Amino acid sequence: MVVEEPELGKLSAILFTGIEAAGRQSWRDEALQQVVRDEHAVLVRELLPRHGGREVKRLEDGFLLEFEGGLAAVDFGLELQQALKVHNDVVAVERRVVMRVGVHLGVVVHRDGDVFGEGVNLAARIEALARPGTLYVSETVARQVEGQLESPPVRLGRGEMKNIRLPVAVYRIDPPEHRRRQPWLSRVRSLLSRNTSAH
Amino acid sequence: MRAMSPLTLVVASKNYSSWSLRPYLALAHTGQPFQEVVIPLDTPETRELIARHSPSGRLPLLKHGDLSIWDSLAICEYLAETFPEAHLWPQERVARAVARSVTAEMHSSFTKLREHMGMNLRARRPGQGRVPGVAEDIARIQALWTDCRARFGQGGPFLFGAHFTIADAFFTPVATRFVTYDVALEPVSAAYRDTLLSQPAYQKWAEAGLREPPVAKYE
Repeated sequence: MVVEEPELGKLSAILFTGIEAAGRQSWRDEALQQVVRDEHAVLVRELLPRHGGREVKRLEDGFLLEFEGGLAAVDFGLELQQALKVHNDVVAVERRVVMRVGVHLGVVVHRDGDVFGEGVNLAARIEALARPGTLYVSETVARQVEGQLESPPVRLGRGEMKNIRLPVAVYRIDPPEHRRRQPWLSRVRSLLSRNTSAH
Repeated sequence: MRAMSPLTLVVASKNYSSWSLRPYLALAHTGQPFQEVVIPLDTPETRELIARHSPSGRLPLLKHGDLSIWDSLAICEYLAETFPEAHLWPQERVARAVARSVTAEMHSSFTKLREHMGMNLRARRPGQGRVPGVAEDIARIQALWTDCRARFGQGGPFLFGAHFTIADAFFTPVATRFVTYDVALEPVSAAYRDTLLSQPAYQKWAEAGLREPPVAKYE
């Protein structure tokens, strides 16, 4: 039996996604919920390799992903948001979703394919804080991507952080106003449209 | 005119030399172009190479034109005076006084931590170095970080806010030690450690350090 040695102390960008039904609806039934989760998984796994990301694990309503740096993680998050918009355009209303994304850059420990550490906890808390449809990052990430995005990170105000205690400031990153033409979007449409008529 | 003279920083092996890392970070954060000379530690030529650059026999050393400055804190102070636009000390008087205090404490104290948790960017030694006195040093450092972040850090991710200061440069080697020896930190300290280790200047230093050949004496 091969026992994997833990890889200690590597600086990684940790990204959490979390999806929910659009328009504050709830899923009609578990079967539909599973279909939507699977569609989210298709998108994540399609886009992840383009950004050098690694799937750490699939969660109930999202993913825990790891990237070499903050910019790759943010680029992925923005592209996934864009892909979800396409998803919502082509699927039935009941399958439309919104997604929260949270990213932090921190020291993590790898063990048995999973990641651990304060940085992972912080990324999860940032994702939970994000409003549906938005991408929130820690200040560590915001600094790393500064000047490299069309829309600069916007620091959350005191009102948005009321009663929330985090050891770092949190920023929102908005999608670019002018969407770039992405050749892969047609592939997203094709991937999703396979199931469109089934539900 | 001196500000326009070429800058050269002479440092020891990047994987091991915490003293060298500090002025390197301060210099990098001035944004000034500079040359660097890296002298490998513990080789037959090490002493001669150091003597060639540093009459005091000490590293790190900053050459600015015909001026030579040694000692990491003296170099950082010189950079702060020469390049004030880099804000290497906080601009506000009280914050600056506290920044100087914590930097001086890092410069002169934490001997147990230094001795038993030597800087080694490449190594991973979970659980090692926990001799009496080290835990107290770690607790004191975390108390300093937490206090500075709470009192002065509201405007940014560093100890004194938005600007990377000499205090941050002095604590960066400690942040690497906390990773090497897998020291569990409070959330505020962990976030600050991550801020330090994600700085581009540190990343560049670490990449070079990881490529250096190991030196048996320090492994």
